[in-house]
Amino acid sequence: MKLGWQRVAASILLALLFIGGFRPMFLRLLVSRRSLMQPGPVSGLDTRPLREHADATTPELLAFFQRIRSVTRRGDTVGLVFQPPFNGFGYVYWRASYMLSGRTVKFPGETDANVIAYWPEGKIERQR
Amino acid sequence: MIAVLAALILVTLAGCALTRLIDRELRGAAFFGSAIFIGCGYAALMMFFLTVVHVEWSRTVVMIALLAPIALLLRRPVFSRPRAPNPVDVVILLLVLGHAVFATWAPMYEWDWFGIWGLKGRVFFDARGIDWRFVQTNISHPDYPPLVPLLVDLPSVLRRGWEDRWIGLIFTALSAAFLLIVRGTLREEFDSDLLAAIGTLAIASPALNLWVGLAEGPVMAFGCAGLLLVRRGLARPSNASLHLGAILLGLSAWCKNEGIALIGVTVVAALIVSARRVWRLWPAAAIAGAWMVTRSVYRLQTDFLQGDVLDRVLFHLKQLGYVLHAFIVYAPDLRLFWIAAFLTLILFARQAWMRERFLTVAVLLQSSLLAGQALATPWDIRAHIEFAWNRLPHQIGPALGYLCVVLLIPLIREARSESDRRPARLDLPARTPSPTAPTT
Repeated sequence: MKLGWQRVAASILLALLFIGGFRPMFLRLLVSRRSLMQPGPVSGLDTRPLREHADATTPELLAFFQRIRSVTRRGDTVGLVFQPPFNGFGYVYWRASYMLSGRTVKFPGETDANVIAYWPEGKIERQR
Repeated sequence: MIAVLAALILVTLAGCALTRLIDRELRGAAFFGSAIFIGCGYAALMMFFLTVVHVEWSRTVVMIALLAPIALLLRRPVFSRPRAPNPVDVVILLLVLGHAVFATWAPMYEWDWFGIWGLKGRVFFDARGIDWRFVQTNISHPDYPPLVPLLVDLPSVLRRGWEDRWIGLIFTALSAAFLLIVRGTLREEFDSDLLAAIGTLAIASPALNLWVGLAEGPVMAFGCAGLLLVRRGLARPSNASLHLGAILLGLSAWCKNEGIALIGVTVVAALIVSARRVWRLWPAAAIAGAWMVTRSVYRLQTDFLQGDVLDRVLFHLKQLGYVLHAFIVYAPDLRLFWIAAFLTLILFARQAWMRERFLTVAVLLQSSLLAGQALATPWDIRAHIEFAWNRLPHQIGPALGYLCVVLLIPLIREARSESDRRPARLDLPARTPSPTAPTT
């Protein structure tokens, strides 16, 4: 039959499309979320979505950001003096920018700001 | 959660009314999928417009704007009796529910949520409107379109407080809307609920985008849905589906810059298939144009176009082996899916060209652009590929999967019986030549 090989090939390819495209994770999550509980990279650097792992940022640091937000006003500038691995222009900088929306978070290393926040000391100093 | 669900219900109802105005023939799953897209697009553009006319976002204003189109539904109800779902539909529904769990199991913490999409959304919400000064001065990709930040602001405005705990449901809803359009159009294509459900299941996981909180999911959903509806429109004498697809393509350009490229690609593919009807895609150009004008008014620069682009492309082309190696090492996940899809296009190239010219050209061109854009990167190309190549192909993956499904399932059916060569619908031409074969 002329179309015989085409039918076989089409059937195999459709099966491969199914198997290759299927993410069992979605069905597994309906029963258990254990697979997501491993913490992800602290640096936030991953080629996979970070949601596939638990949030690696410590609750203490998140609470510190909330505290900075509560003692600052819209329009304030905030300088971050953070020790490694949270210093630099990385994940924590952007997380701080988000949690301190409405304030200007200065670039890492810049301390010409209304408010300076120190981590891990957890100290917040208002300059002016 | 209530605010996000309320926002989704309101936008869907508004979308039902507006979709009815655009395409009176659309029914069933495809109609509801389109309604979610149109409603989300309407909500985002409405919030953009409120900023343009200097009206501060408030629950009252936004509710009035969302409820206004719903009045049209009272005059002309669109709800028809739903068909009973088959077991395959139940599996698709479970996958969607699984994605909803994935999207909401924890608050957002993707890097790009903090750096781009959520950051802009939160700043806009704080300002109760788009803060153009922030967009211009912050280094957080000023050129990126605002649909996603505006959409994530909607539940917060309704709630009168920032909402980022359950916002992932919006991303699930957009992926689900795309699957509804797939289900509806495949039902028309195959004239069989079971085959339509099987085809939809094959694409379901790639369409349920994992990058929750980023614009990858929305640009995929709007863009691929737009392509499918344009394809549907090219096979019909009426222009309604073309207009609807073009609107979705226009909205995809408001999600991410790749959406703008997809409009160009669609025009090229449509030119090859039906040159005289290309101008019917004008809504895509009009909607995308509104953002391009805004971008140029506020001088929002694209880092990809900074400096000498051609120099960078030539420089990277000189290291082609190194670049190709990076593409292979950092290939996107679901590798068997991609291999099966491209094998389908290679083995059944003739059928793809004869039957699905529009979708084949559009998908291949967009895939090439998504890969090719790495050559223009101003950053280290290996790092660029490493962190972008697992996301970008998924923007077009579901359309590629759809193309494979509409090629493979008829081949399996045809070989079984000659009688299956009849057209699936009376208003469609016979399968050979295809609905999207050239008409001019």
